[in-house]
Amino acid sequence: MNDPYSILGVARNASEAEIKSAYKQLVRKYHPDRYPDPDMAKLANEKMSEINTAYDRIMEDRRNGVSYDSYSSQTSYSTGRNYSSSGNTYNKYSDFNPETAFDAYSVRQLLASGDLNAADSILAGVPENQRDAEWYYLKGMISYRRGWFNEAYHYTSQATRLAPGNQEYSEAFRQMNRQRSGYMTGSAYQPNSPMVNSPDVCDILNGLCLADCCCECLGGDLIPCC
Amino acid sequence: MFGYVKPYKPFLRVYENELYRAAYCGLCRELNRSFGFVPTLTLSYDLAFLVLADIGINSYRPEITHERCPVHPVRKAKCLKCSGSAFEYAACAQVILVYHKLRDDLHDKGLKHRLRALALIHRAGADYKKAAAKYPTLAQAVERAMERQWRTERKRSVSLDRAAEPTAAMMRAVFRELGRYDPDKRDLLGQFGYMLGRYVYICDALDDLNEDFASGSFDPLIPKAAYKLRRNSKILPKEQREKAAALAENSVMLTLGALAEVYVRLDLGGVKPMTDNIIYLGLRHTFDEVKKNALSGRKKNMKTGLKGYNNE
Repeated sequence: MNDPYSILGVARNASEAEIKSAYKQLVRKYHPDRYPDPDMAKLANEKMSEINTAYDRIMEDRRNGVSYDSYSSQTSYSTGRNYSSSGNTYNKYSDFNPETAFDAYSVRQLLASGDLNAADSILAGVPENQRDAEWYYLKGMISYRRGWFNEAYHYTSQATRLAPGNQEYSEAFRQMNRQRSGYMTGSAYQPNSPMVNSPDVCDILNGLCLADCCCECLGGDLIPCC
Repeated sequence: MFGYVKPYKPFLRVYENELYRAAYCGLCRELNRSFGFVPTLTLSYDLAFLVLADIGINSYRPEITHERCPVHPVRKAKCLKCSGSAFEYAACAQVILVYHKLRDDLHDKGLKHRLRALALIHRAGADYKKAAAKYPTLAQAVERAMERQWRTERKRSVSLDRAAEPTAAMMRAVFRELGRYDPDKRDLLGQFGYMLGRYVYICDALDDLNEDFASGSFDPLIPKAAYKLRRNSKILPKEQREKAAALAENSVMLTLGALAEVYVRLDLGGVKPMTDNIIYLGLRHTFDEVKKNALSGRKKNMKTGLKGYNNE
């Protein structure tokens, strides 16, 4: 298959933001609506699907940590970032001393920019005995963004256990627990209630009887016949 | 999709029910028109959800017509039509998904599945080529997802998160395509598809729980050590069933919670009341049914082959 990077016209080590903007530009350029001539529109359509395929391919491979080398046989990709399949090496940060915990700030930044693999590989470089609450929290957030919710839950609970006082961690954990108990944003239906807890006829009659008793105590009458 | 994405009928309004069935009818017609009668037999109700989502996202204006068809020769059925490519896309997606499902069946599963796959695959392959030519992005994505699925299943010891990844990625591709000409929506739609695929995968794994244990096939909900129990009995012990169901329930709830976060950001326009029913009630209800069935230890599952059991 054609090299998806050359289709989008970006370098192999381009950041995700660069790829996204290149992709958007191409989509604007080849949008079939811009070509009134049906033949041209057809060509544009083909180009669009090529661009979409290339973009999806790059994004998916990055998500799964596939190394870029698989696309090219000659040009070995040695400089800059190196995502190995285990995600352990990340050359940009190789000068970073692993003994002094880790660079939580840049992990958070990468997380915000959506570069999950890069963030994950920094975390993977931290030795197991130096993993603190922040490490577990960030690991949990990365898993959450990937859609690996079981792992996310596990790591976040670990973070709250290690640092029970931290507002941020406990808020994230609370949110996940809420989801786990069946909360869905925007739902007009309360969890379980429509199918299980709706009142039946007995409940309603009971309520009416009670209301009648109360009224009679106060001198009125809700149900005149009894 | 295997028949797990459908509305919760008791809470469906009458006109919503009509619209839903009309969408199904329209899809069946479209399949019949472009691919012939045979593929319509594989249609399940959940592809109707894809049509509805497409109509909602791209603000197509559907209209209901009355049509006669081979399945309803006497009475004319209400049938949805719309000008855009919603039905065409769903039909192609169906053909692509079915073809890969058949190829998957050809490799493993029991003899029954294999024979059926063998009988259908030739025909499905021809249709697949046609559909893949129209939507190459989708075809490639699905193909790669199936490859990865196959590798995952051969490994036999992966976490539920990793095991669900291929199916989820496949559904991400299916839903991304709804934003064909709108790159801003594609990522959001992709996320939505991912979560939905994850839900489908976990439901499917729980649904196949007892069957997989009996036949010794891989199921991410059964711990590797538990397969040793097969020496004593081919029926999964009760406490193992409960453990698997609890794991599935926790994962599904987390997934649905995250799904809802994405869902509220999609602008679905006029079809929203219907999709609300599917997302907020249908998915939950279907999972509860699957769970009940799996806990009972019955081998028979909720889906009946390729055609999702239909809840009429």
